[in-house]
Amino acid sequence: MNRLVKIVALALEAPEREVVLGDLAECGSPVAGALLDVSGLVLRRQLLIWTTWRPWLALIGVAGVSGYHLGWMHAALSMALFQQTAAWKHYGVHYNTGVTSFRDQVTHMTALAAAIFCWTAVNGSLLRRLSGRAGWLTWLVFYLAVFYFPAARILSSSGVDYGNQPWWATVRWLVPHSAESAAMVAGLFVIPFICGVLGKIALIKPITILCTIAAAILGGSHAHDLEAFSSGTFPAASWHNVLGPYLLAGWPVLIVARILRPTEVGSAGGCTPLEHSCHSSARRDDGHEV
Amino acid sequence: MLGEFEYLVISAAMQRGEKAYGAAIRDEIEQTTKRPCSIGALYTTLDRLESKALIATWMGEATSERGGRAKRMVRVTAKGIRAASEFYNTVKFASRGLVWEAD
Repeated sequence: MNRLVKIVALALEAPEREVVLGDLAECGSPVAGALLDVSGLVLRRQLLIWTTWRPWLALIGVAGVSGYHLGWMHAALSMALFQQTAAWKHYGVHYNTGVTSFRDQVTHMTALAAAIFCWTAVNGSLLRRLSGRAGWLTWLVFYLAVFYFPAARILSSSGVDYGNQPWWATVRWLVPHSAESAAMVAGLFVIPFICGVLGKIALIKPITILCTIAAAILGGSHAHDLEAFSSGTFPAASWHNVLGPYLLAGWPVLIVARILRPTEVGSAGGCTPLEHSCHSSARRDDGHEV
Repeated sequence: MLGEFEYLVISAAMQRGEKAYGAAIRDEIEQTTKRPCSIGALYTTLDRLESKALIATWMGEATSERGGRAKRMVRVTAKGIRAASEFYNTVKFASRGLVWEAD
């Protein structure tokens, strides 16, 4: 069997892959025909996945909406950390706006970092459970939503002229540019996402809700401090404007905690009819089913 | 009611009897229709028929000619036989008195 055919067949569930490759070997299909056959089946399987609501919720709700707001939180936190580390490196002092105390800033950043960590873990868990075999796309969109779109929007609205660069030059925004940002990406996103995908989020659910509340209160408090500091020049945002982004970034935890029961969630991983038939064949082997 | 391809799959499975599995059904359909049958169409149809309880499938034994890989065995259920019979009778009734001759 051609190696390329086997690679394409990896996109199929293991039992189905076994059967299809066996059929192709038995028929002695030419490589091109086998490749076309397997690709066709993979395409049909991928299209079938999208006939249910779960991958759409993962794509739009989790990867799109939550990921996008998570990206903005990440951008805000990166900016705050950059200011602090740059001030410390160059002048040996902490960066102080005078709006809030350094302790309050650190508390807010810590709460926000903890919230991002937890939200990412919850999103990773939910994406795995909802996407099934469409995970490759929802995970990619989540990555783009977190790392690319906020960066693209900040840079495009910053007045810097990128007009003479090809569009693909922006791909470099997808990777961290420094050791600090790489460490931040690993700590806030990669590690919790892997934990979430592996399902290690039992403790994270209540912590996520606490962190979301803490980050929202501290964020709102900062907005009011800014209003007081500027004598009303920068009016504080209303509470729903302050809370909105936190709720949009953190809503998946409500799904994980409440709406999807464990059995429901477990079955969302994409058990194909063939897998069901495998289960039934096991029962048949035991002599309990005809 | 069954679709045309679903009927072909059930008929092919019935023709092959105890030895009905993916590759055999595909071969039967290709011999009958003289047209290629894609694996994608066959397996998605098998899944659909199984979800409607018109067929039952299970993993069969592995053979050396398949590179040691298992077969997906197929058996038409009583419900599947009734559905195929209904389809056949409908086509037969719809064709009553017709002579298919092109000028």
